[in-house]
Amino acid sequence: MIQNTTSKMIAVLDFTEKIAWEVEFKKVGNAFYVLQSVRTDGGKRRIEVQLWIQRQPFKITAIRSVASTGTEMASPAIQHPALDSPYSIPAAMGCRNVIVWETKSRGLQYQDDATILHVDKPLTAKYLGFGEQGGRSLFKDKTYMNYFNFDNMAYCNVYGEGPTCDAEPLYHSEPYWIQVNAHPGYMTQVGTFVDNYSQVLVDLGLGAADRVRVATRFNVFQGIFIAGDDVAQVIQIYTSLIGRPWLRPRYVLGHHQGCYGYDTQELVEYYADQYRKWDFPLDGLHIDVDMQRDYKTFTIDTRPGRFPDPQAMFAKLRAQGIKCSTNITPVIPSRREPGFKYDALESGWAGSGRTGDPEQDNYFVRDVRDDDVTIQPAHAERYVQYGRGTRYLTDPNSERPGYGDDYDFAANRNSGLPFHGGVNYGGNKGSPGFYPNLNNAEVRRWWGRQYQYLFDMGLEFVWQDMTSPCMGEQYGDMKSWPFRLLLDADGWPGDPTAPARQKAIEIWSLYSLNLHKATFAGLHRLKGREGRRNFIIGRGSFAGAQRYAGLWTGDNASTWDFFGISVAQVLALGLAGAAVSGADVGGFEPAGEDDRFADPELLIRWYGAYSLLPWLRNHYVRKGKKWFQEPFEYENYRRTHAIPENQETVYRAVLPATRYLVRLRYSLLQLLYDTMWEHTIRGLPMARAMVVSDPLDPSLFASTEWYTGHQYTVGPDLLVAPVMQKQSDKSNTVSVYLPYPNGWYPFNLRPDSPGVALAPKVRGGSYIDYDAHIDWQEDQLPYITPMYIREGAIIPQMEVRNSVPDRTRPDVPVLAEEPSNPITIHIYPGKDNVRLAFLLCLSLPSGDPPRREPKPGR
Amino acid sequence: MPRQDAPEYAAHAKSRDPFTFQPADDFFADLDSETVHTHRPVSVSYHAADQTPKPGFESPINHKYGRILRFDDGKHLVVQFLRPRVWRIRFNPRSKAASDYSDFNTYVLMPEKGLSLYYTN
Repeated sequence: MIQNTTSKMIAVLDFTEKIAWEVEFKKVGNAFYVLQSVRTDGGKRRIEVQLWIQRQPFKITAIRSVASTGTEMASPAIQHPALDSPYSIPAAMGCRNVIVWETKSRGLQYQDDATILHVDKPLTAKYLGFGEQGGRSLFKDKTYMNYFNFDNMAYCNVYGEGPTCDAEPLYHSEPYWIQVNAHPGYMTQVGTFVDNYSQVLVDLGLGAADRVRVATRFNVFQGIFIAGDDVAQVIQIYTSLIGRPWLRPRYVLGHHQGCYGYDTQELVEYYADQYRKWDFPLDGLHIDVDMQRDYKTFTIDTRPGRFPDPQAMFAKLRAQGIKCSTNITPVIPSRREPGFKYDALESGWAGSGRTGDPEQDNYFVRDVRDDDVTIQPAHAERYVQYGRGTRYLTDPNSERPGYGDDYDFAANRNSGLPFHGGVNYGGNKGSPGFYPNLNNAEVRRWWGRQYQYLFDMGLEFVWQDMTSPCMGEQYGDMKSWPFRLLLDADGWPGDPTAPARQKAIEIWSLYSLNLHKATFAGLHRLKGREGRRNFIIGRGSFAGAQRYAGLWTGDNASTWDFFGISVAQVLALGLAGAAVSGADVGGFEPAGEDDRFADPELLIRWYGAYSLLPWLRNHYVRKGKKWFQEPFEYENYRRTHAIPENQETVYRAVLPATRYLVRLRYSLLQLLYDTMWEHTIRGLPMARAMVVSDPLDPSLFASTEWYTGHQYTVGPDLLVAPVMQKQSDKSNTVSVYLPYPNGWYPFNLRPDSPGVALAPKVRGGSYIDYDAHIDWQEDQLPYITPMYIREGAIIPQMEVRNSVPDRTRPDVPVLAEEPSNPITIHIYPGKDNVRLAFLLCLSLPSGDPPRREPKPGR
Repeated sequence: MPRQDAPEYAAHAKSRDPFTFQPADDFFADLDSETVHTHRPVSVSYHAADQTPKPGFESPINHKYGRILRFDDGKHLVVQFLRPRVWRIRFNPRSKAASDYSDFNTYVLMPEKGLSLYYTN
């Protein structure tokens, strides 16, 4: 059995990084122990970090010798024996020994199952990261945070406030953040990661201004602390531990369209045709559960009027350059349909086949619970839910989803039979079902095999949804498992001390991690996928899932509040190594019950902001809610409906503005691809908060903090400063901040021309009042989203094509014969730059770059 | 953060079940009001005997990288380095002995794409 141990992990990393180091432990008098890490490679001995463990009162203090940036501020002298002891780290020239991290006195607190670590919060420190959590700012302070995967539609269900609330538990849990600016002017930042599958809670300076409390509810508390010179180094070290993904397919970086409502083959083909008719680049079409036969996962409804010829549909779209995903949720609907053999249900029931008795052999999670003796018998069972700030109970004995479900809860409860749940999409949409036991390796292999049919039909990638798993509130707590349901607990591979089963609440995020892993591994094994790169766009999971999937941030809405957090979400996830991530562009749900499409100004600004972010997918819901969200539909609407005169310009601008931005993206695809390649090697985000790309600008933690959460660089050198607010509420100009110390050129590249002459360089550290008003006129399109290029930048650009070519399909001649697309390299004056040779990922004649084949069994 | 409970919630035994999601404001409010009993060790010490695994125990903590310390209330804390600039603090509130801690990691720490665990099951 493969064993995932600390020793092995360290050995692998030491070998990969070619470093030698050791750990020393000593007693310092009666008051302290010192545990220190010492680099020994290069023939020199260098102490990296000293942990001074104070015996009484208990306290841990981490010391490093850090370099100055030349802008250090005078700060109160801190007294600590570590700073003035024979055992202190020898200080190098220009460096100073500082306390980089410290617990509070008696900093560990615990209950029966919960652990709380109290950590010092330095006066000047700022905190960023925190995964996909919402909130008004990239930097967070004086707030609580909850990490607990939850189908939290519209981000408003626990606290009732919506996306501006930091504390809502969301679909994805990434309890990781970086403390910056604790020592202004010194090269030291510290990352924190809490490695725990149960609920993780954070008190970020709310209970006391000088304290951070970090808590886990169940199992072992594991706090991992990463000391870096700057934010980029913290990210590199962190991603070296949690893993970096394989290089994703290039088309992932194209433009995508999804819809819960493309419910016929005809409609899917219609929208593909429309995108091509409007000369609007598109690489991905995401077909929701609409394609399934009565919500049966892994099926296609081939009945007349639905998707009668999926193979032809996928082939037609592929010949148009469009690759398709479909929505796969971890439910196997349990209603048998006369005359229809549902393979996943039948094979899931047959399971291992070891005894020949499906009740023993099936692959489904069983209804076995660690009962609360105060809740007996079954008719007293209730499940807890949160809805718009109200905590309430549902009764599984009597309540059923809108689609009806005639099952005997009392007979199922704690019966050992497959757990009876069901997916609920609202109204009468959904189905009761069973859940594959994905915390079991054998079942994961079975799960992976279920994709074969879809890929044989021509599917190209997977959209993983409802991942917690998410089910109707009538079936479990917080629309997921009953908290006391016992699940297989394989979260510590090989560990003989780990329990074989635990309550769901204790290992809450493990299932979704296993789900993404099972799909990832399964796709690699499918016939016909040999030598191909696969891709999953997933929903909530836990840290580590980025190895397997990109992440979309769940069900948002077409509101300025949701848009307002959507850039910061991507930047925060990028800090955690989840580089390919993003929100549904335009918003999934309507803003209000009576809204039939997103505000056109919002859609333009959202495309502007996301034009160069890694994941650009326009996705929305029909189903009696929205009518459309495809950009050209705004033009169709404008031509057929009376538009108020004061809105004529913005309606007319939707198509040209969004098409311009997407075409610009396609002309810069090589740049995006280079940053994706760099991410797989170094772990750095593709879209970078300025604190990553401009670590020497101290204002980013202070006066320009707002800009830090809304502006980003693509790789190091292309700055995007999107307009994030409704223009009609503000003036026509928007404030842009150009970080210090480099100079910046106004963006001069164009998607369909050689570009315009370079305007004078602007000094870094400047604020610019930029006219970014929306207009449909061609000469204003380049300025709707302010962009700047760093002096010395090297920017590759290509001709715009309507999709990413796929020369690996000799069966599709129109793709195989696509002419090559030469790259133009734009070199900007101002400073030396050595990035290009390392980053440019050239294709082989086959169309694919060299790919390292994973070797099973290694 | 205005939250509220439906009237039937407080009356039901479910509201007193500790195996539930607890919003952070409730969790920390309980700690601050001391309505829940907690332990907060005062001191820590090092014992060579704690570093010795029990016979037959697979994969104990590897002392090349850290140490197991003992709190004054008998619980144990593991402090170790994972990298020269990365340290980890591990505490299991249910542990009864130093040898309860092993060298194993969760699935989350998985550095090398070549490891089978990375991409298979």
